[in-house]
Amino acid sequence: MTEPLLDPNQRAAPADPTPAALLRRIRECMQAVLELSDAEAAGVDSKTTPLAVPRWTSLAHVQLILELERTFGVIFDADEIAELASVRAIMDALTRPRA
Amino acid sequence: MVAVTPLVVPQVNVNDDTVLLIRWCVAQHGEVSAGDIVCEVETSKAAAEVRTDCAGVLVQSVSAPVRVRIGEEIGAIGPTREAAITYLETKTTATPDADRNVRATPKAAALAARHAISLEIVAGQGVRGTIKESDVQKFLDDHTTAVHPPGDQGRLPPRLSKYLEHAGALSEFDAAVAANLRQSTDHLILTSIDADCRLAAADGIIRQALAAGRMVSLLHLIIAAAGRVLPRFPRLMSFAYQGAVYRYRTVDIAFAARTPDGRLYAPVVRSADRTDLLGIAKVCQAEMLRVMRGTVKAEELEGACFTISQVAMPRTTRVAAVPSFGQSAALGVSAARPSIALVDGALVEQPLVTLTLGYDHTLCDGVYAAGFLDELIGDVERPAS
Repeated sequence: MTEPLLDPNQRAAPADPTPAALLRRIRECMQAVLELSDAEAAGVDSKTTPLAVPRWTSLAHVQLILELERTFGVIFDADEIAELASVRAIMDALTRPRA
Repeated sequence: MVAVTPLVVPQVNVNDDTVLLIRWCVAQHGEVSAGDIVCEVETSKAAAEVRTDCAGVLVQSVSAPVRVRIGEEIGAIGPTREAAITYLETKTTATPDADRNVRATPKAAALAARHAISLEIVAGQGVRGTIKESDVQKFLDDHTTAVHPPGDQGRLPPRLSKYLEHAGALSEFDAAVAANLRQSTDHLILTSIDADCRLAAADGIIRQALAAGRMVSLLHLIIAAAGRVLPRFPRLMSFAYQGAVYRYRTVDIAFAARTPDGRLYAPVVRSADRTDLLGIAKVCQAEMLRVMRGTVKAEELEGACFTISQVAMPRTTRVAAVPSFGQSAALGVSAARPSIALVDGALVEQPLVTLTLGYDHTLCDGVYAAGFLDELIGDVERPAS
């Protein structure tokens, strides 16, 4: 379960519920962590998996998770992150109702 | 009334003040007859059997393996279990504490813990060999790179100091990692052997998992394979120490994890032999996240029987991994590189990695190590469906 981040010093972005905006911000995180070119970043959509992004390795995945946590002000359950290896899974995790 | 007879460590070798109790030959609360061998001890020269000259029920007061003093009571034999237990509990003679292997002051223990050093290898200069804080500090000084303030190069040999300038202190973290590896390399007869592993099948498994949104990597596959193969090579999950061989009870495998600022950790996948590939991937990713967050605890990094270290930097063809202290083997995994293979009469391009097994020649030889690599590679190249 993804928990809300309680630390007020985290740079949590304001909530934006539209899928397009969510995807745009996930894409920005991926571009920063995975060092994607603008063209590569533009090709990221909800179906994107590490198969399409060679730099999306297991180590980079952990760094991406940390970047997503900082950006969205959440903390992912460590045990679930191996199954967040697709943009769709990340979007689902970020929009899942929180306890 | 039948008396209880204490079981005392005999003087086997006149030169020894202590011996290593290797193992008990009779179970706790087991019955013994006069002349039975109850345990085995090891002196500086040889192993010896300890026999009892009376019959009854044995109650052990120490667990093997442990270092014990000559003349020390390590159990009792009584007409009943209760009688022997009562005897041991009411014995007025001071019983050494459970940590008899190592007598150390709290400050010494704390300093050793901060530097991840086993007290068993620190020479104690205090009363009856008690290890003091200064003993641990001396060990650190002897086994880690000296740290000097800027401008102070007094301990650098003169022939070097004219060529070198002070570039900063070694961090406490790096010193602790170095101390652990120094302990290990001082102790092992570290040898290595290489073999190449083709990745056609592994690539297929990884691509299938990634397509399903599951982060599975070659490291996870190799940990899973090692978990299956290691139990067939028990000497690689054993540790030779002071003449005795100890075997890990569970197949807990550590993997090297490096933070972006260069800190090295070895998180552990517990019971890797009983965990499927996705389970291993989940644990590895979760542990990596904890390492990156800085929330991993020291005790969570302990107890692995084997370490796997992957350095997937391009053009890396061989990774010589060093086992942590307490282990006798570690596996290095190189970066993948293209190769040409003959498959069904046709030349095809296949990626491969080189696996390098570093192992203690005290426990196994090259044939044994090669046998392990062969089975490990077979598992990766031809995974069971």
